[in-house]
Amino acid sequence: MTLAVRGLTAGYGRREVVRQVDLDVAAGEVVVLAGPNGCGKTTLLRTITHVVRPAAGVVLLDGADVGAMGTAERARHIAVVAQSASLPEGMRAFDVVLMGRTPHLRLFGAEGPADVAAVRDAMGRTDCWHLRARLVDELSGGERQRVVLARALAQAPRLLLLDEPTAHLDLTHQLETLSLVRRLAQSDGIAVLAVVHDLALAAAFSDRIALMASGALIAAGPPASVLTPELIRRAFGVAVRVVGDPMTGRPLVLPDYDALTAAGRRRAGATIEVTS
Amino acid sequence: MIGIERLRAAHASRRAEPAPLTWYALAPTIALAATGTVAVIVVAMCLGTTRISPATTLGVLGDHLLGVSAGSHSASADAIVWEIRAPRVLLAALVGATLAFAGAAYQAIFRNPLAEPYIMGVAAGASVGATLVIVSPLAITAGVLSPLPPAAFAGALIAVSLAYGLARVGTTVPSASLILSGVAVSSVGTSLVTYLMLAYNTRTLAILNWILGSFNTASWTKVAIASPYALVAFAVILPFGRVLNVLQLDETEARHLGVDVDRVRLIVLVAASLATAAAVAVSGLIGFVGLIVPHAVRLVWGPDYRRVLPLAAFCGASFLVLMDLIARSADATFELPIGVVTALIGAPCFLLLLRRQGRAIEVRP
Repeated sequence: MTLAVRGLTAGYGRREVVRQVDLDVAAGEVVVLAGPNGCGKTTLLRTITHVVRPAAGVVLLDGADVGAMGTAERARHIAVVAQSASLPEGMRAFDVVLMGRTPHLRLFGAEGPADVAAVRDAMGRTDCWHLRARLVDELSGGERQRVVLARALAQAPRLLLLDEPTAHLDLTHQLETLSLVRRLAQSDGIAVLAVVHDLALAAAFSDRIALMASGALIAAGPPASVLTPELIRRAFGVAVRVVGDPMTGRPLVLPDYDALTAAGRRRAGATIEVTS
Repeated sequence: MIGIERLRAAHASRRAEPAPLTWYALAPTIALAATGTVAVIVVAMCLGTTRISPATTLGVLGDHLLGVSAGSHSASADAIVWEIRAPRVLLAALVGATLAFAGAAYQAIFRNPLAEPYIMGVAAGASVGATLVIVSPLAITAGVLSPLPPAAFAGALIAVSLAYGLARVGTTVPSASLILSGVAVSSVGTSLVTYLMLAYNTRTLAILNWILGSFNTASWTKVAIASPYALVAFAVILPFGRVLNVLQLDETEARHLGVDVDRVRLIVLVAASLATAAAVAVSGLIGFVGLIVPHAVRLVWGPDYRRVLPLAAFCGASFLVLMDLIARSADATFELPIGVVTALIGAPCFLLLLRRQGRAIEVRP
């Protein structure tokens, strides 16, 4: 067991955004965190890293309390790929990935050959070593994402948190990024917790899905057990049909457009609305 | 502007095989910048209303610094170089280095290209302190006993502490609130000074003179007052170069990489503000240097703060020494305010550099 979240409650000021969350992610496992916008997914990730202080509950990494760790120690165990990672312009991809070594260096220390080796390894595995001398402002969206992922790997984390790693990416790069994450989890035994909005991608690339709604976890388990019409209606408030992929049998979630438009017709009485 | 193409070529050649930036990779550039700055300083000591040959100037300097009697030079040459020009040129170098260095540090911790050394209210606070002394019945004694520098210094520190205290939200100090509270404190200070100027209109010119900044009251004492703060700030901030690079990511990302953002920011802010306050106290307000020199350095040598910080100090020193040379020799009858010269000459040079680099400076939200 790598990550164990117990009774985690957190918020901003008086507003509770995450309520009583219990969640486990094992080494080598990919867990997708799904749920509607504003349900507390990002806050949950931030509370796990203690950037947001929990109001109650604990986060344990192999039994050690994350809250008791210093900023640098925490960063040696947990790496985060943010929703839209900022890459300072004028820096080479190599320099950006080298920043991943920060928690392993002393405050005023300089990077050494071991750090270069770690960078080379991380960039090799995310297939971006050939981009090392390029300036980050010249990279495409998919290339940037690989560089940011390499930076996270250079941290040598045991837990990898991804906040919508596929946002702003086209289909090819979405698949590429998630299958890469999947491979890394297995080969390195990293525990992965990823926020993914696309439920088909979530079903294809995760071992388990944790479904959140208004701050609480309403279900967690294998994709087929979580992606049911009832649970999705509870989380998202929309009617869906769940069908099996004709080839693999994996669950596919299809919004019930007819129900949506019929409801829309009843409410508005006139125009047909299809909201995504 | 001559060497820019070559500098760019050198910059591009770093693309060949990336490696971590080490001190020995930095050394040649820094040594070159240091040599250039020393050369500018010596040339500025030779020039003025009375021209003195480089040999004589070096002889006088050798006399006083090394105690070697380097041949014969007249007593008047000795007085001009050692008593008048040397403190003035060195003070300009010190203030220029401090402002450019502090500007680079502020831009780093605020991740904001518009940040400059006066952004936290240093300038406004110092002006209030200095203005209160000027309008007070205290006789303004010149030289060592002048209450102006300590009053300006105290005003600057009060303003910065006020701005920092007001920006605190719980346990964190967000950079946007810091900038905004700095702006608010500055405008309070500025309006106080304006009020005092109008209320004591016989002293208006004296106040204006101080605000515009000048090195014509430079002395060895002022050099001695300001240099410890500058040296401490350099010593404290320079080792943070690599960490400041990480801070260029967003705040949360820097935390996720293990950087204690609030602590780093507080240390750098205190060191840079103390040095700026000391510089302002001995020279008045000299705008532009702290904003533009770091950008010019970044345009030529790239964004790595391990390179930007030391080079900003050397370039700031050379720049302000040259601008002061122009201020004191452009017009024989009266001295131009240094702040006017820095903006008038510095701005077009910077714009030229910006255009030749063909890059835009990005303002992040």
